[in-house]
Amino acid sequence: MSDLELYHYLALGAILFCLGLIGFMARRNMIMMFLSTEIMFQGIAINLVAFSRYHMNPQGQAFVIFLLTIAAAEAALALGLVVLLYRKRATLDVDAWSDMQG
Amino acid sequence: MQGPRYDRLANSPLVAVLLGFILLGTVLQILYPRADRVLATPNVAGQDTLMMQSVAPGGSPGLRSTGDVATTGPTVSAVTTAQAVDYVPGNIQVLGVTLYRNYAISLEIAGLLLTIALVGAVVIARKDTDTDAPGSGGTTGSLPVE
Repeated sequence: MSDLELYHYLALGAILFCLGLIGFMARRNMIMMFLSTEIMFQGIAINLVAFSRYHMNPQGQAFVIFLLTIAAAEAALALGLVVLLYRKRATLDVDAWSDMQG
Repeated sequence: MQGPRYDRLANSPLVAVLLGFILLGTVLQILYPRADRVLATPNVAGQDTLMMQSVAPGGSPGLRSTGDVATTGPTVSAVTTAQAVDYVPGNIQVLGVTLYRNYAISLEIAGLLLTIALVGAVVIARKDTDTDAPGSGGTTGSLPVE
């Protein structure tokens, strides 16, 4: 535990963010794209916690608590929207909704 | 709302909820006086000084576990009083004290937001359950008319 420096945590956060970004670009399933955004969110949260622990300031971790709260609320609403969209077209493919683009 | 005054007061329990919060806080203060000692640090940002004990003086502070806080805390006692030295809180405890001391209103708002999100998700997900039934008028949540 004491061998871990700050950049280890920052690298983990960056890797999670990149995985989420790649998943968001590559996947066509609505639920998988939503989970990829959640993975990007967790990468940012790991960054915040690492800097909070580095500066020994607990307010960063308190901020992460609120961030997770917002993420939970957003997850509930997004899954409700996925259920609603599935009832409209009976598929989870985002290409079925490509006529909504501008 | 109809009825006499005591009945109206019983149907709008805002004061009862607030008094319940005060009662809960009082009972917790009595049951756990140790958290009170954490709050009784002399500085304005008391928990910050408690966490900064583990920072090595002059050196670059790495990421340390709470065990390091427990071991190096009593030795580096320049910023704490005698009553705070014998009890060094962990990371989770410092986080809880920070949340309930500096962000109490925000924490209540976060809980309210979660409740609203739960209700909103249920409302979104159970809407339009009868879109396939022709001529049902699009009334939400009702059974299809025979």
